[in-house]
Amino acid sequence: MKNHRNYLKVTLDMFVIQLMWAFGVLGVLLIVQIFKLFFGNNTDQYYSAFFIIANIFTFVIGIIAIHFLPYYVENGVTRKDYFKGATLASIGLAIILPFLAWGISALTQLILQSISSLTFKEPNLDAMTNDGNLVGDIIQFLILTPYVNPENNLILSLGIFSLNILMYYLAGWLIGAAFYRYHTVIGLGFIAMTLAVLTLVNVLVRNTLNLPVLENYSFIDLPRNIAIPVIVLIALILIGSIRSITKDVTIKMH
Amino acid sequence: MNIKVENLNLNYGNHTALEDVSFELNENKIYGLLGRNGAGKTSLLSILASFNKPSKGAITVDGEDPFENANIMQHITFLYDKSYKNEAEDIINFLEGIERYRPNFDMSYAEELIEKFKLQKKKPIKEFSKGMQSALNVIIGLASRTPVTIFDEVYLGMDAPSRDIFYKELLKDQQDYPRMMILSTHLVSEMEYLFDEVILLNKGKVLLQEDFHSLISKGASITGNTEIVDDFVKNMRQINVKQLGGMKSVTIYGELHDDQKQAAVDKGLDVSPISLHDLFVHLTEEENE
Repeated sequence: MKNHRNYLKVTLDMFVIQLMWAFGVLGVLLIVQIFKLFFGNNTDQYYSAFFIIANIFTFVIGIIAIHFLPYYVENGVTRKDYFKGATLASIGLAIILPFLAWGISALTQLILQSISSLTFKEPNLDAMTNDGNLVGDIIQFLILTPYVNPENNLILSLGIFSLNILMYYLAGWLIGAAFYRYHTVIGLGFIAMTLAVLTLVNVLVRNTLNLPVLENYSFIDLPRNIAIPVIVLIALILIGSIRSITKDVTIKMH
Repeated sequence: MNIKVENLNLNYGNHTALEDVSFELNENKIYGLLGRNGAGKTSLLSILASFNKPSKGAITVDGEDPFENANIMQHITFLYDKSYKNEAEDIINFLEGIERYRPNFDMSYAEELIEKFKLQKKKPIKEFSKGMQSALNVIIGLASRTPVTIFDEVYLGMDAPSRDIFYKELLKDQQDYPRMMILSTHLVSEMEYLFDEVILLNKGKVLLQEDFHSLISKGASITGNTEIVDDFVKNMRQINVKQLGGMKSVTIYGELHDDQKQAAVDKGLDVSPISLHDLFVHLTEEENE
């Protein structure tokens, strides 16, 4: 009996499960935002608040994504179908999450404006301060990925949001795959390499959008027509590396 | 289905887990895969289930390499002593997930087995006891009804009544839906009545592959006066010797014809059959000496 549609089932499975996790995060954030609105002075818009959390969230679920592999192989699904399914699910998630955040943000704004005079802070996610703390700067730079206000350009804003979280998901997945297959030391090497890649993508997207770049990275300044293909190439290299690590990996039995 | 294993080798660094393993399985029978700890049983089965690639040699299922082969992999189920410590789903949801990927999965049979093993439907699987988790493996293996079903020591932690349910259901379902079942086990004496054919693995090599009844008929225990026993077994393959004062008991392995049996009885010797358990212990002992 032929069964060529397994990757679509994997896509649906992984998309739904990860979306459920995302709903959990979106829900908790909404409660925090409501709490801050009523007990604080003012707060960020929901969209920009989720923007920051989403990178960390997708990075973490990317790391966890490798643990679906043994489940699928144990149930007779090939590594290739798992890979195709998980990749499609990650793209689907990267597209839908910004929409959800924007939808919730717009809705909360509408409700609040009709019942109160509370205002939201203008987000300032481009505070590129170099305080001399190297690790702090790197982490701040990694967390504050390029941001475009949806009120200025909705499509671009959602697109950049999607690109950021897709990159963080792929980075997490690559690290998870490396730890699954190799020794811890090699896994740590992958973390360092992946963080460098994320930083590079961050700078390149900022180059493309004409956003400020941290002084340490100002030496990277590519024109838009080169930066965009390089970003696409990096995404493809991340995906290709994940496939090459997982394509014949031994399934651990425990 | 046909499973052909040819000169299979598996190395982990310097350690050789499997060495030149060759055998063929052709029928929908229950195969017993026996071997001591570290004999290479799980390594062999993990290659068959595409968990692992061999270092050398080939394994084919219906002429095709099973590794990363979607058409073959969906028809092979490999259940082992797996920990479900992170599985937060309840058993029904979990089985419904598996059902999506197993073309012959029978959910109503799975539910029937859940009742028989008295598993709680609402409880997260991670809260199941070891025996209950083993019962879950049995349910997955039986209800998936894949043409090749492998149980690798799945009974661990199951109490005697649960193991009994497992054996009965295995035989019943095998009768109703014949398939190739491979049971890897240490509990030889408890499970020997299940096997149609036996493969004995020792130190990464196949020691023998034989029909259960013909294998059992090859072993015999000859007991009697030491000198008479010694004289009778001198040209036979002796796999175990026990001395009890002036009496001796020798376990022999090889064809023992009716006239030879009669001759032994005429000499006042006692000829008794031996169990698969004894054969397993003595044959692997002999090899390891």
